[in-house]
Amino acid sequence: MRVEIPTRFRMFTGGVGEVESCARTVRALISELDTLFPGLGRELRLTSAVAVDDDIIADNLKSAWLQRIDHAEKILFVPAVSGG
Amino acid sequence: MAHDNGKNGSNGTRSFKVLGSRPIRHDGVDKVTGHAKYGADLALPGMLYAKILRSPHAHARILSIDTSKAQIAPGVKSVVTGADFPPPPTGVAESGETPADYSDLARNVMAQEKALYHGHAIAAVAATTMRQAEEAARLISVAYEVLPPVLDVRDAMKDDSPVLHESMRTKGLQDAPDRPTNIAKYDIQELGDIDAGFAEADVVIEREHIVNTVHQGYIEPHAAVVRASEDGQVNIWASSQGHFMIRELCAELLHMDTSQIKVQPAEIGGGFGGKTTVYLEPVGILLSRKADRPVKLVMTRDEVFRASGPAPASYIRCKIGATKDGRLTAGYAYLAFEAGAFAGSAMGCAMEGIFAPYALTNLKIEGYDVCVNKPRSCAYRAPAAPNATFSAETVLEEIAEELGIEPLEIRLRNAAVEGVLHSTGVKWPRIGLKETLEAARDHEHYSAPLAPNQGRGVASGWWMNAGGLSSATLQINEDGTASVSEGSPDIGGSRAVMAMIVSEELGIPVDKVRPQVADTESVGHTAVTGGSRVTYATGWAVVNACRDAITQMRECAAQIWEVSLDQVEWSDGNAVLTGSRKSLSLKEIAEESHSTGGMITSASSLNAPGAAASFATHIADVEVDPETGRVLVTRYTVLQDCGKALHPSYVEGQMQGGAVQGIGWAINEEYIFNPDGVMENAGFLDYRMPVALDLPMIDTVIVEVANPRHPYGVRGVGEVPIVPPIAAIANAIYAAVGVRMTTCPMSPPRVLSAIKAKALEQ
Repeated sequence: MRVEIPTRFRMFTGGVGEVESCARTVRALISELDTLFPGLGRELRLTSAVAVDDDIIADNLKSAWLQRIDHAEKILFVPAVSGG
Repeated sequence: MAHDNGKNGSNGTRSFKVLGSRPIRHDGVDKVTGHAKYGADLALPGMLYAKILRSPHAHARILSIDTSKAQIAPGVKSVVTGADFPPPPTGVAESGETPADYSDLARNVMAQEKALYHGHAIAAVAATTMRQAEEAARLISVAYEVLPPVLDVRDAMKDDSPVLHESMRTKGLQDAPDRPTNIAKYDIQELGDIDAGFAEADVVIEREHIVNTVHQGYIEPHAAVVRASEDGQVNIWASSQGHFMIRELCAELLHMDTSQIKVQPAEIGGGFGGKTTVYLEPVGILLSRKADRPVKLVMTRDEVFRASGPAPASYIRCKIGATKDGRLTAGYAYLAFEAGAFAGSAMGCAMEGIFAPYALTNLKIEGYDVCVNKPRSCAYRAPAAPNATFSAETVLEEIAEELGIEPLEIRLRNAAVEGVLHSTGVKWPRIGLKETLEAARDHEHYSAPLAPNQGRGVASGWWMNAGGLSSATLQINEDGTASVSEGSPDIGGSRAVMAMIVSEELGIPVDKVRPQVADTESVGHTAVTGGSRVTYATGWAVVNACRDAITQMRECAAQIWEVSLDQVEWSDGNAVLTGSRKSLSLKEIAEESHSTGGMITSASSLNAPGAAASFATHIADVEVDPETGRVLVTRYTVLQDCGKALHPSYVEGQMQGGAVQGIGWAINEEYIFNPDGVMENAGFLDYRMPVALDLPMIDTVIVEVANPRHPYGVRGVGEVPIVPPIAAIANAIYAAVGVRMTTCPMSPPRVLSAIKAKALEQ
């Protein structure tokens, strides 16, 4: 699956905006990204939710942690959901 | 635990028996007869009264605090300062509306090294009477090194600005300078190529907009009663938007086990996002522990303004380009938000919202979260989105005028629809913006005649809406009535909706269902009431609990009839034996509970997947007095995609309430600070919010575009109505008197000044 890295996280990736992954779960993907780009995983955990094929599957990464994503074609990190 | 993946959603075609009707709310009688119990209403034997000593300076180092005289003052039983707090945990608290650093949270509850805003809590006293506590607080001697405050976001971003936090460096900025700064965070969203997009445009408009600090204006001040026992157990009664949030934050800040703290939710007199964090409760625990007595803490109105969490001020620069046929080609926005004394404004929400209603393939949005010497900002109903929408929707209006395109038409031509990319890069699912625009276009208001000095403006807005953790417990009573307990403080009629859901699912009358908001030991964990999530997420938990109870009742019927479960269906409140006329009512099954294995009880906890976005379009008519600059709203219509409206009256109430708050924000509300950072209008007399006599009836049109994810098609409704009003009012003022307002509020002096400036130009 294609994993898109938004502009604001590219300071961790040296400008890389897209990677391929076969990760089974969100947890595995974050671990993989953190190995490739140290520090990115923590930043994603603190600030982001995840969209799987354009479906924002949970309000934040923590809630999506164990969800299976190996069926997906596209993964995108979006700001965590909030409100007032 | 149900981990619902949202696949059993609604396509909007289901018809309901109860949902969509308007039963009287179950908590209504107590509220209108004065029997409802709010946070300040509780009195316990031996209870003490707390007074918090607050900083007289907006920015100062705390050199020393001497509480010796206060400790021996008459009636005083305990005194606490920042030194009484344990070191805060590392990491981020996620239980409020937005993540907050524990260190910042702790320092906001009570100052440590520095006072960072006028009104910042420095110490607290608990005494036998309130008067004694106040007098003792005056005896606390604090030595300050007064520092220059910084009170404006643009000033705070300058290299030579006074700095609040020496250790702060800008997160998110590549090659950020390694020196102290007030810029806590930088963020960016990009799509396509904005240079190419602007090059393609026939018209490009760029404007700057300023929005000042405002308060949520909840009628009920923050209030709590705290009792810490000798065995370490703590009981808290508090008005809040999340009693589980209070429990969690107090446990973390004070290094306690979660199980040591029980929080009972009082009725809440408004929150709007401002009660999604803690101010008083950790202080109360320490005071109560030291005194071994219960302690009541209630903010005065003055303290609410000065020392709770207002909505952040902002400076926004917005640039939009369009072709001559009205197609938007590019959008750029620079947004700088005042976080207040600690990082964490809702700047990110503004970034997501500024161009959300439009199909823009080329955009760049830059955001800055900036510390200033004002109270730490907190959520306010669609946080930061009204600021952003003010900017984009008025720039769009200028473009429409420049191109000679009617305001609703330009919006329709560019409206985001399913499949269009949002600025985050995600495609929109099924959304209802276009339906609200069409409803506005076709509404009688839009073509009603106007009188001299009157003008009409429109604006559209978006909000994301949350899902998250919710729990519910359902009990079927012996007589066939039901009790449902859930964990969401009720700030908009949600208890009634939970009862309606039970009524609909089980097939029993809604007045046979008793809903309650249960304490932290009586129901599963539930996230804050905020993010327009309660009907969606907690309602979903109730749905699941009902369906589990139905399965149990079918099992009971199967047992009674001595058949297998798959031979028993559920229909209209009855178990029915397939292929026969045999049925058992819910009441009959309940009466047999003792012989079929026990009472029917079910519980559900879920983490509801993200709720669907909602959109609104507003039409505002104003009359501007050209001699005074006073803006009178003469007519106002809210057209909003609400998904399935489970209780239309309460949905309409949310639409009206949000619109009224947005109108007040637009034409009159702002914090007025003197150069020393002291708020000069910290009361409702001078911080003037609209009351019923100020405004016409807010008309509402509920547009129902079902959320395909939810069992009933529900979308959040509470926040989006505050998003369009500022822009709609600004556009209406322009239509009335030909001046474009770029600073909010558009109060009489500002409007008059703009009118005079325009006259001079001419």
